[in-house]
Amino acid sequence: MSARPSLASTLQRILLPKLLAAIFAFSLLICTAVVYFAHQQVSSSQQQYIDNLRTDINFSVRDTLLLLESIAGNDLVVNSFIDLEQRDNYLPLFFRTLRLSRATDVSLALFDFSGQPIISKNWQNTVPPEINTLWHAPTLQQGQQFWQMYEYGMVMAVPVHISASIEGALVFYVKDIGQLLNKRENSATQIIVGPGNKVLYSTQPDEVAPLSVFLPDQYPYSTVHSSQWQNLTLYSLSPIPQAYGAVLWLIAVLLLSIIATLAVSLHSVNRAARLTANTLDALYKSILVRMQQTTVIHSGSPKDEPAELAQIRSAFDNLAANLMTITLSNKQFANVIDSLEELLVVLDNHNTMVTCNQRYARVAEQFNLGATELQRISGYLAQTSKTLDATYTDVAVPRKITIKWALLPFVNDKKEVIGTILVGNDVSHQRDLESRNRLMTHAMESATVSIAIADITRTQMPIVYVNEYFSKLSGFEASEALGEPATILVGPKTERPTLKRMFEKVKVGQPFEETLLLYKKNGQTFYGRLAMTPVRVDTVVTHYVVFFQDVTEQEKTREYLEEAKAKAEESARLKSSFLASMSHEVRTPLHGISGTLQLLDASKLDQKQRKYLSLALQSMHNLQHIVNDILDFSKIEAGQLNIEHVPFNLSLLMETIFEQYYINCNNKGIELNVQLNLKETNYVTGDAVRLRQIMGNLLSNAVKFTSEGAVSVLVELVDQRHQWQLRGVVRDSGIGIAKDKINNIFEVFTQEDNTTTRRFGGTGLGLAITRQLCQLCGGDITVNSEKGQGSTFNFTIQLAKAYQELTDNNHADDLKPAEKLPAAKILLVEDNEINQLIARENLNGHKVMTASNGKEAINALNQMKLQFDMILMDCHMPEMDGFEATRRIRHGDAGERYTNVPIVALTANAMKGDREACVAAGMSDYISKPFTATDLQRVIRMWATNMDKL
Amino acid sequence: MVVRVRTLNCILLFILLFVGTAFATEPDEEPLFIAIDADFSTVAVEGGNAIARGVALAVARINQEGGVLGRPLRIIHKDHRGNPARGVANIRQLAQTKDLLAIVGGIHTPVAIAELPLLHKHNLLYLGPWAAGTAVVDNNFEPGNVFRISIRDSEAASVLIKHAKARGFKRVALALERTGWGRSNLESIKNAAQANDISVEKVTWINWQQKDFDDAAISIDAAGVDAVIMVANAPEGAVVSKALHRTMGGKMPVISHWGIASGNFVTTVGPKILSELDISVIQTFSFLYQNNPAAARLYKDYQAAYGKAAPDAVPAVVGVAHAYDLVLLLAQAVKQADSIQIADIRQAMENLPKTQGTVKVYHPAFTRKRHDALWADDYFMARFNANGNLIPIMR
Repeated sequence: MSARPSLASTLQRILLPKLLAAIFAFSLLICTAVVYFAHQQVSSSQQQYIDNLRTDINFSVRDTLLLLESIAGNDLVVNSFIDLEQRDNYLPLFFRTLRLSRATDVSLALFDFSGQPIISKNWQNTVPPEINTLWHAPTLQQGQQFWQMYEYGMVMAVPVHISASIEGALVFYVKDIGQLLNKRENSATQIIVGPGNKVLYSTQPDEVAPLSVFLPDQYPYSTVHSSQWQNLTLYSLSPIPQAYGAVLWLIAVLLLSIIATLAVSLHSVNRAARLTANTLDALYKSILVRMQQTTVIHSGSPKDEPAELAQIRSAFDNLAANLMTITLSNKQFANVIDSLEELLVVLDNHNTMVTCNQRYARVAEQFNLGATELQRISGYLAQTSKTLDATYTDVAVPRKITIKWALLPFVNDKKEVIGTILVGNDVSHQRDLESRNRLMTHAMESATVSIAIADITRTQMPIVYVNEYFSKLSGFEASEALGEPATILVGPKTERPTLKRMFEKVKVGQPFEETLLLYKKNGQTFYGRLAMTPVRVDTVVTHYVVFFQDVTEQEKTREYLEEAKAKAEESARLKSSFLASMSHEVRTPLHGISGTLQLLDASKLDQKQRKYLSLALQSMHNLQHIVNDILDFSKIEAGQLNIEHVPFNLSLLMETIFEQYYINCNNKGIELNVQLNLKETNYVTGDAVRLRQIMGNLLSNAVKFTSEGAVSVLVELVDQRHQWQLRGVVRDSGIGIAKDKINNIFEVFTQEDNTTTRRFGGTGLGLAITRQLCQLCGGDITVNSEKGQGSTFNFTIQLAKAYQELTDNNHADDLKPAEKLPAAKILLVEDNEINQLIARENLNGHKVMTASNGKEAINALNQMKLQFDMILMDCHMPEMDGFEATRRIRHGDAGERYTNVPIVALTANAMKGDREACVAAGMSDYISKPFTATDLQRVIRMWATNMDKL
Repeated sequence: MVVRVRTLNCILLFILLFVGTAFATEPDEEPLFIAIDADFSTVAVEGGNAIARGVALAVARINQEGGVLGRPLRIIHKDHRGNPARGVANIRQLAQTKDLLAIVGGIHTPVAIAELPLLHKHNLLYLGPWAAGTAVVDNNFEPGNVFRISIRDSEAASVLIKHAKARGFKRVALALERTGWGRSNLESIKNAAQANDISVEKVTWINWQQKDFDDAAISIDAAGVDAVIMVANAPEGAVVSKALHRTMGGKMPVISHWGIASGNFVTTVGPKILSELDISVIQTFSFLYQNNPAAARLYKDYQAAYGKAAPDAVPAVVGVAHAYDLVLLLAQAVKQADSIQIADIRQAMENLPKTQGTVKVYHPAFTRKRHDALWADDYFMARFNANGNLIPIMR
């Protein structure tokens, strides 16, 4: 061993010469690179100086221009252009306080649009006069910012705008450009050279004097870099030793590095050799140890073992491991058979079990299978050579399992049969499905609804299944129906649109239900109620299941009911129409009685007569009330009650309502407590008449049924963002309502009981109407009461918000005092003599002429010289009614002068549509009978006295 | 701006056509000139155009009736852009024009005041249809060459203050433009306020082209006044109004001199803020509620020349009416003097008979001592309607 050289010395001898050669070549390369990059470095730093200088000028110019812009845009400066008289008071002060740039020696002046100075600072004697020629054109004419550096300094100018036009300029001048720039912090000299090579600025005036002529050839021992910028040239120059001084130190650094590299290399070679030797030694020792051991353990590797040696060690370890592995493969075979789903048992020729898998062991234990059972199975199978289904029961659970057994011969290497292998499959789930299938088929067959299944994947969609009930209903036997197209029951009268709809549903695979006319085999028709459901296999519809029943009877019943409903509706319509016309017929004589009584009231009467008249008037009022109730109710029934939607003064309405009931209560000796919470709102939009009716009905009921105590009313508005909800509560301490009656209190013709009617009177329509009105107004009404304890009615209605301006006008109208009207000339067209008389009396003070039908009216208008101011026109008259007469007057039949005359309809019809009919005929307004003197006065004021203004 | 230039071109074209037809009859006659020196391009374009339309309509009518002394009238347009320096330069140029009867001025009092010395030096007649500064007419030149049909600030102040008083305001703040016009109003408003028992609690100033008035608006709010009286042109008026709206919402009433009616105040403020503000503006004329036949005739001519416009939608309508009346009165004076010597025309202007004008019946328009034709009784207050047009307030 000692005769051989060590690993370390061998490595040194081979590696060192090559290493030295490589270091030498590398050093040469670096030296060349250093020289090259040093040159680059110097160029780029010179370039950098120039760029810095340019950036600096740029910044300085930009900042100063921005500042000038902001001064030029200052409203005080703009104002001074307008305010010639007083600008001397503030402009000089403003100019004095300005500080524009880092330069200290600057001049600034403001010029007007023609270039005349307005104010200047440090300008006279400082600024060379020729600079004006520089900025005038670009700034005052083109309105652009301007700056220029030239031999006498730097000038900048910005325009001053009034609105969009250029009305002046702000001009800045600095003689020494250096004042605008930062100190150059580098050893090189930067200069700015203008046209004619004149030096405008120099960072080192000792080297290159400003205003001298600069030629780069004059500086042969300097590096010179230049850059053109606008009309200027920027130079940076530096003496050569100074320029390269920065890289000389690199040479020394290089030498030191070479020496260091050599030393490090020597050391590395030694170290590597030693490490290799140590590792090999360790491997050798560990192999020695392994030879003496038998178990598989990985040999311990030394720290930092090289990869190659580690591979050798690992290969050796693997070799040792393989020997161990072979012994394990038997166990894996056992695992395989244990993993089988099937039961596996191996028997020898004496039917003794040789081995079995775990699945068998589990089943055997659970279902108590033993050697006898195995013998039975193998015996049976050996003879029949088929399969055997055996069912076992687990008593404990209880649960059944069905095993399908099969037999295989067990052979050895020499193909001799040395036993049998029994394989058992668990087929329990399959058997369950089969029995379920039988159940379903039975259910479908015995169903009392027709079932058919069509295959829609084939053309014509043949029927693939029908049940017995199908045959019974349609007359087609299963054998006749199968394979026939699905349209087998369709006949000529079958509804085509329904069929079409059906096919469209089938096309897109949707379920479908419809009743349609179908045909039996014998041609008899029937109504079939079909329910079709798609059957999907993986989202594709393959079949449709059709259930159908004969619904002919139901169809007939439905038709009958529809007819009955139409008849009922017709009779309801007839009823309301009857009520409407009846109330019209009743109203006309009622109007007559009412008017006559009023006239009588105005005449001179003795005390007894007055008492009788007062009774008659009272009965008259009650009768009118009843007729109005009936009319309202019939209107509601007929859907003809219109809810108005106009602004009105809610607080005023409340005031007038309560005023009336204060008197009533006072007369009966009961209290009326009123609580209003109207949120300081006067005007709302809604139906004042209906609200008055609702309040009136509730209040008069409360007063009527209360003999002592108090009636309390609470009315409040609740803000619901875009609308108001009016909530009202009317509470009395009267007779109350019994529990069993309270639910019917809002029904038609219901008072609490008949005795109530006898005691208190009334139609029994009041509360029914009130509820209908509340509901029509978007609200409802409820009641709480106890017999003898009084009642509480809660109601709500919806009201819209009103706009103030709109309502103020109405307000003015409302409150206009009834002034004495000037006498108007009026033509009254009315067939009923009593009505004529009443109207005439009420029109006392005006000149009134009467006509008893439309024809007479037109004749009168044509023949009378007199010019009528307005016409009051009854609607229904013999010979020519009011509508026709109005149309003719508007058409000019009564002369040109009457085509625009105001015509006011007098109508006893108060049903919906009357107003529209009047307007359509060309009438200007209408009042409904029975009208009062106030109604007449209103229309006369509105129409007869407005003629002059029209 | 393009639209405005086009409008201006239309006016010029219209005038040329008219003058052309007048010429056709007497081609040899040398024309007489009327100059308009107003802002056609910066801050009061609407007012400038209105004045030009009034002059054009009057000149068209005069030429149609055979011109003046048998010679047709022609119009020269000068744009002073609201800049006094440009105004002075314009006068210097116009002084060289032969046969120039008069110069119709523009909106801006500072321009008019700056022009006064040159006008009198060159003996040029100046007809004022708008600039309201008291010193424009009361100018200490003898004889005075300025005749005005317009508001006079000292009178306007009493109308503005009386309007404030009628509405029950006791304490007011002033927002004035920082020019001769603003200062002339400061003095007259203070005098009128004192006479009417109203206290001026706060005086604020705004520069031309100032963009921010918020600090001043806050100080007005703090002064606890009942109303603000505003003397400013459209751009600054808009800045003031918006600042007041930002600070106090619409609750502070603004009583405005009519500078805001000369430019695009309405579009700058915007309909939303305008509808929320309570602004009343002093005016002298409106085509609304008119029963004056001369006004009806002008309205008809105006629509024939410039297209349909609702009576309340004629832009800067006072400029149209004032300029129209001034030019007609000038023509009448020249005929009366039977001379185009400035001294003769001036004397005739001071001795015109009673005349039915568009704005009112002048009896007579001017006298030796009185070169202002309209006085406090001729002014009224107006309000912006929803379309941004001025509607007289009927009281």
